Amino acid sequence: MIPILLFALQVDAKVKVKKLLITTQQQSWIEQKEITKKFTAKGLFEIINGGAVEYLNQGLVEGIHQQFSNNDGKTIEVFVEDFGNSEKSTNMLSSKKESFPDAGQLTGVSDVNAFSSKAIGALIVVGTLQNFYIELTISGFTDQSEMEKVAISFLDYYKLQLK
Amino acid sequence: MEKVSRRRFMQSSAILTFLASVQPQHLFASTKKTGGWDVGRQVNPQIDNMRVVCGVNPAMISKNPLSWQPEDQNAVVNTAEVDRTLDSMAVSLAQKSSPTESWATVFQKPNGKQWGELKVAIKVNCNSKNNARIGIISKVCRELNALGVPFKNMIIYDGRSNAWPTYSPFLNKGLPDGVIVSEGNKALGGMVKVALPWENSKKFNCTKGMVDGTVDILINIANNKGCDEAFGQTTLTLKNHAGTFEPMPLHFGGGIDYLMAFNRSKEIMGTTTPRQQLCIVDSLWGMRKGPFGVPEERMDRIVMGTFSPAVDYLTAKKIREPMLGVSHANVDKFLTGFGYSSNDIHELVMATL
Repeated sequence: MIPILLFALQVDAKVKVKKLLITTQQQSWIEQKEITKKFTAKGLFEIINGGAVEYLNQGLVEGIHQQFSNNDGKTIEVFVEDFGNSEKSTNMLSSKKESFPDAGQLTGVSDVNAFSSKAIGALIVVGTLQNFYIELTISGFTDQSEMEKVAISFLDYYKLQLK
Repeated sequence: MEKVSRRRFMQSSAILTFLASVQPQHLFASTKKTGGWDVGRQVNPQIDNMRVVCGVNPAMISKNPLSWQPEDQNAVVNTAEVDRTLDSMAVSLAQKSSPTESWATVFQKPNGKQWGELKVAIKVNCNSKNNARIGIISKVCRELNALGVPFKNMIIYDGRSNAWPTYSPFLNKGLPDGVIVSEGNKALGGMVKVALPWENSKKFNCTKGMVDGTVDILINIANNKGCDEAFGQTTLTLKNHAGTFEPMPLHFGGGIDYLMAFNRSKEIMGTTTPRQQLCIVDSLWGMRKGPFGVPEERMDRIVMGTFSPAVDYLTAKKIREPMLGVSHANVDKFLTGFGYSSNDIHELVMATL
């Protein structure tokens, strides 16, 4: 509860989602440019073709979709979505969490309300940073803690961009 | 075990006797239409529309994949076990004495054409990362080829999410030599507008090969995924054709009515000879939600039937609900949209290896 409360007290960033588009190489992660897409609320249907309704109901304004891989077959898929304010992005997080009954709080990153859930062959991390809602799917690792480290490094990058 | 009541047996026997005595075109002469679909029409005169088989075989998967990259999710699939499972399912579906005879019963050749002339389209779901496994697609291709259809006449496509990035790495490396993987639906002629048995004033984009008749046989291979409540909370074989037809009207007012309309269409179901002859749900792994995301559960199952509403209904009720703990709204509409009700449907026939 405490992280959520602290988060709610923050002033929402007035930056566009494109500021969180990763255009420079992060560590060994190579952008798969054919995946990269910016989208509006309506455009989300074109990307996920089902399952988009909840995002729209919660107030999605716009977002970006990117995927990165490295030479070892590891991948990280990223959705960063602007919900207009932190209340809405937190509501989206809460709604999403209902789909992950085994989710646990992600620790090791400050100022970010996030949970992680182990899926088959992947770790799913969902968090909020101010008015932004972020979903990360990390795969190709055998060690969950390694996947959490990758997620934290991406969340730290986004935090830095919003400062 | 499937239970067959005496009454149902007598009904089936009477139907089979009747079917054996008539020409295929007579089967479609019914008195009632539901949005373009002739109620009571049998997709396959030798297989009850409501007969759906579920193959269960944990040996199909050696271990869970390290990631959902196409190579990784296929590397852990034992294709010999997939072959064995699908053969067993075909025997159970067609109720014949051998796999060869069973596959020959499942697939139907239009009158006046030779097997070697037929063109086959295979619709897969390339939305996100859980996709129809190569072993299943390859087995279907090889069985069609055994009947005489050249591999070069078989086209794997997804007009919505593009099958090329997912399946082109397997050309000649898992997929039989000659099989075509289409960029979108380009190899099937792209899209053309067509009227649907729904809103008469509107036309919708549909894959051209289904409209001009160049596709003789349509195979539907979906995955076990969820979806929005508006579409029955499933992304199975019915929803899979959002990609044969344009998907966007689903999300902007069409909902399940549009979904059912394009699935009832002659472009999907065919006319004199049924076009969509086989519907498969690759349920090796399953997703509670979706269609975007990655699977949460290993399921070791494949579901197969000739009639997509029955395949989807039973997959939802007999696999997704008990095994994934999800509920489904609107799946009764899968059946009522084709003139059936849940009272008409049998138990899922289990083929456990």
